[in-house]
Amino acid sequence: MASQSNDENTWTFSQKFTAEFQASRLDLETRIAAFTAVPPTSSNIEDLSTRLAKLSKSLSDAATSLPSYDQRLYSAQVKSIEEKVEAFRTAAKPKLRFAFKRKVVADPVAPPPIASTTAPLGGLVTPNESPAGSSSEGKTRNLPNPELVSLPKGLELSNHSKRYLTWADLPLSVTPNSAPDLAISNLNRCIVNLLPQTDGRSKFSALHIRDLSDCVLLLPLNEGSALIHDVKNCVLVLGCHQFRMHTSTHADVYLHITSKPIIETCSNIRFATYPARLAPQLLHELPQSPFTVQDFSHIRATPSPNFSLIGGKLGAEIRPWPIDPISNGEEMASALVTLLPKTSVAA
Amino acid sequence: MGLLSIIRKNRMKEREMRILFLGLDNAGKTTILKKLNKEDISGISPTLGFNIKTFVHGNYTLNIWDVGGQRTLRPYWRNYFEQTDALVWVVDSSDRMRMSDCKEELHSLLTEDRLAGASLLIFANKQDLPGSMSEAQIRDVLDLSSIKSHNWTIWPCSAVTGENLVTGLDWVVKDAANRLYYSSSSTLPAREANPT
Repeated sequence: MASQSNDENTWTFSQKFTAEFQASRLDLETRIAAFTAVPPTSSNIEDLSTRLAKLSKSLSDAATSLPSYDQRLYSAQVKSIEEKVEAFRTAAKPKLRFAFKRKVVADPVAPPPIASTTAPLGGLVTPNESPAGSSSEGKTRNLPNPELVSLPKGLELSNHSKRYLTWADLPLSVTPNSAPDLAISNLNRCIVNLLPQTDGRSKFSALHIRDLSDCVLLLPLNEGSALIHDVKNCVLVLGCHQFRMHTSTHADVYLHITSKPIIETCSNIRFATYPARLAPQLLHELPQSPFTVQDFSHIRATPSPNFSLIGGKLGAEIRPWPIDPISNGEEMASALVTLLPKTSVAA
Repeated sequence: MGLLSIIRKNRMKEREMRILFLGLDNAGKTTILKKLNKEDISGISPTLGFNIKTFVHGNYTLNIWDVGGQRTLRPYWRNYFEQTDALVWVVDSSDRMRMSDCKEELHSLLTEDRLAGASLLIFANKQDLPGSMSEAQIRDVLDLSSIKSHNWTIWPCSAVTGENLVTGLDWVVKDAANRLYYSSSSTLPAREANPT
């Protein structure tokens, strides 16, 4: 009984909230629509963002009492309004800038194109974001821009399809015995082999991995943390200090780790230990204690349905790891078929 | 004696401060805390829930709350806002792909009534990585100069080397202390106020 009345409360609350929320959202959108003809002044924008902040706060306050579908829908709506307001703001910026300092105007306009082409993860730090900001310290804020160009960058491997990628494909040469951070993104049907080289290029620090599909990654035993987003139908072989995987599906992870790996909003993930064949030094170490995977999307006593542990150490050892470069397209396809979790897709 | 001065005097005796550590997952919140507390940082797992550390820093006892930053945990952050004297926002300076996420989360926190007035320290962590962004770049990308609602500063730091961790903490403690215990000079040792 108690829980039923509780449900009813939640229901009435969410009905009431929905009405209020939608009313203020519509109000806000009408205001925004009015500005498409006449660009808003900065005080208009301030007004819009205050209203927006109220709306998004009311949503976050109500979050616990709303059905998850509604929550998602409303936050998407808030987000789209946010983008529109942000667009007004960026559109209004140049004017503010010109008003402040005539002298620095030339500088801030020039660097963005350079910044956008050299920013290691092109386009993710948007060019109009870095020089943005309407501040009185405009002058000091413009100084860092040249730095964007000259600063040492992390390594990046991105935008490849159907290729066998090695150390030679990294944009910068790696000094032996160093541990640079590495970002891998936007790969499709690739095999990446960055296992240790005889010349001493042997590991990375932080790993950022994003947007891979139908790929096999062979990575060394690294020192830093690994952060992984949006990986589909892939095999990842790596060693790291911490492991976080988000919004991924159908991945086989061969892992060497001393902390607890975690997954969030993932499904069909299989974990196994790092194959000693690919890192012979593991044979000389004490056997690592088995790791425990934590699923942040399933914080309950019952086992998570989103991952499994494939114990069979043997399996990892006898797999036909593609450690030799493949240039032939057909060979590549058949190597992927034998390795990827969902072979039907890769075929 | 007014009520306000009684309250101030009372807090002065305790000289306690509540500091909240927040930031996206993988920022290094727990590692910074463990390093500050001189604990081993080699086997830290992603935080499921939260950690509390209490330690003495200068004249103050700090209660530090470190709440996990995974997306599923972020809705729970607001359960920790009450009575927060200072907010430490930790940024993974090498995570260029999520800087806009990081900016959004930070700016939405700052609209919270319950955090109004809290001192804000931004730790640009992981400066030991060659690919990390500089303090100035992070200041820009996170649009820190638009923050008018809080007293804030940014320190580049590394939880692995320990660089600037204490310096940053010093700033945030001093800034919060000036607000909470403004009647006393922070250079004087804590003592009973003389009634005459």
